[in-house]
Amino acid sequence: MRSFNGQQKQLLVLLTPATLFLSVFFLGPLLIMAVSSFLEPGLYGGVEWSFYPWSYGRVLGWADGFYEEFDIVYLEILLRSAGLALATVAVTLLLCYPVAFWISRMPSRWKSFCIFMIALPFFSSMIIRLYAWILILRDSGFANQILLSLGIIAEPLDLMYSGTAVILGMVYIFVPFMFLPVYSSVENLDPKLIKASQDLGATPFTTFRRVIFPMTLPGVIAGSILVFIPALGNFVVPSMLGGAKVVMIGNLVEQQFLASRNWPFGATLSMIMILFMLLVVSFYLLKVMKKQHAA
Amino acid sequence: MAVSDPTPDFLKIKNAFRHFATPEGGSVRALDGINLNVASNEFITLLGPSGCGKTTLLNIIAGFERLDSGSILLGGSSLLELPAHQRPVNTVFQSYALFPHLNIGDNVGYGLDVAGVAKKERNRRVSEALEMVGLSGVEKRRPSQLSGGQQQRVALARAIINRPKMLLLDEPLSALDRNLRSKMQIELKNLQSELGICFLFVTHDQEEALTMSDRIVVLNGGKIEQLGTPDEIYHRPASRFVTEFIGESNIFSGRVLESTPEFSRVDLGGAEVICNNPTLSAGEQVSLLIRPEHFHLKAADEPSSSRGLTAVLEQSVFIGRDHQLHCRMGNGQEVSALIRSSFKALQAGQPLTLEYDPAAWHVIPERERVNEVI
Repeated sequence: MRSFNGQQKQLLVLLTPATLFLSVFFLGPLLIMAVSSFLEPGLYGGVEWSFYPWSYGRVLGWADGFYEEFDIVYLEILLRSAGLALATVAVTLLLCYPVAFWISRMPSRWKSFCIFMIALPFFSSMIIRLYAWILILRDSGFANQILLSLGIIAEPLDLMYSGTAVILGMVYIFVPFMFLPVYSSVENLDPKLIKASQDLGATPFTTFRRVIFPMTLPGVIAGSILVFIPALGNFVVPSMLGGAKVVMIGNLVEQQFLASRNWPFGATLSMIMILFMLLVVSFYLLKVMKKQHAA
Repeated sequence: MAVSDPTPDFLKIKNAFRHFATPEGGSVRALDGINLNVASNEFITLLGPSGCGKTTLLNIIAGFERLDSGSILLGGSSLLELPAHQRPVNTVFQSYALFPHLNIGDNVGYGLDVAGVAKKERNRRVSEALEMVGLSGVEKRRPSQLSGGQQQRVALARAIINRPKMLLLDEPLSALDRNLRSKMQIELKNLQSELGICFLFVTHDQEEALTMSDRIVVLNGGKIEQLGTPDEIYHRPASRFVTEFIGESNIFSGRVLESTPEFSRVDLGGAEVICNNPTLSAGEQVSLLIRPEHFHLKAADEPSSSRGLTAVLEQSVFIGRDHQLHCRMGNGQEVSALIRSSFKALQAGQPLTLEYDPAAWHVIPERERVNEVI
């Protein structure tokens, strides 16, 4: 075996902890899940060690009607989840992009303060914060009380247990994930480039389209991915704010493991979700990179 | 060449004022009553130390900053009402500010693209502009793949492609190394006369200003200290500030002993000099300037004359073609001289006679100026 030189040794030392950690706590469980998804469900949870492709069949359509039945509802839930995650991405982006510009032009003392304020909600538990949203959104909650007392509505609105409530909660939870990468790319944008564009005759809108947006695109991409992935698999927000009406793929997986005790089917749904995410994200990256290359 | 006749007062700046708030709560006058007329084919340089207001004035003309009061006319119409993107001027930025996400062709063609110029015409003009700055065939490369000097040329090509009526250059050469800088100075000057448009060049480098400019505006504390040709600025500085800012100088204060229409005798406190300046009157206190290169050493066999300063050599520095001599006069005053290097070595401690032409002395007008902070 050849010996390592100094630089390789350094690299080895630096990378070993992360590699070990990820192999044990990420690759290991992923492998267990991948294997489980092809095994027969045990009667009271757990798995039986025999090959069983029907869990996939239930979702994707090759069920034989004897072991498992195909039901389109799982794909519908997956697509709905993707739609909600995309909506979350869109809303957080619309919120964060202008704010990032606004903060990047502040004096540096105020910058740090504002970034701290954006990260502040992280200091308390997500569950507590979501309960606060329940207090705001429920029939007798603050939102309805205010709207009623102002005479804008006559009867309490049905705000809770809807897709809107779920998006609202997810946007609230994921705003920092979008903000930080977008902010860092906006902050790194040289103001001279904006001046140069104006100087060469570009209107503010053209400057945005041709210079500002392409230059901050990497931050937008990073933020979108960072929000999309956890939003797609999130089950806490939909179960608290969406109730039984808005079942997302995360809730479905949770139910399979904890309520239905069908581990292989839960694993199957998880695997399909992971593959779907990979597909969406790589398609997105490919398209964006192509566009950037063409520009 | 199809250059139209120059208009003498193409750019007219009248009573331009601009102040900035300081972090301490005070206020600094960046422009303190600037009046300036520039011809349509002139290479004019705004020269001054940092904070003198030169960049502020450039930014105001470009449209990146506003004026508190005053007016700026370009070709007879006011510039100030137009947003930056509608002004018929273009800027070459200090750090080039090339768009890193666009290739060179798209950088240069940016102004034409946003104006919606047809592809064919656009491509022709892009290669024409690149050719003009001596950088053909790099359209497909990225700014990061070019050297500093090449990026500079791209920035120039990008700025001239819109055919501006005036080009603003914000210390464009400050990031280049010395040799490249002198080369670019000449190229810039050539480009300016070729285009026949006005170049407004901002720099703190007096050598650069002297090399390229038709006229130089020396700014200090938001005011114009002197406006003149490089020759005037160098040889007949209008104030002590200009004298000290431009070139090496020996400044003496003295009292006029005798004044005749032909010459004046001035006492520098123990040493006497003769200068050709008919405006002086006996008994007057004056500040006199003589440039180090206007001294020469008297050879031992030449007859001595009264037109020389005696001093003791303290240090001699070889700077190539010339020697820089640091000397001290009998009255303790320092004097520096620049003389052509010779084989004869000069020894520190050696007494010298620094000869001068009486016409080389310049009387600095007394006009001390303080940077006002209101």
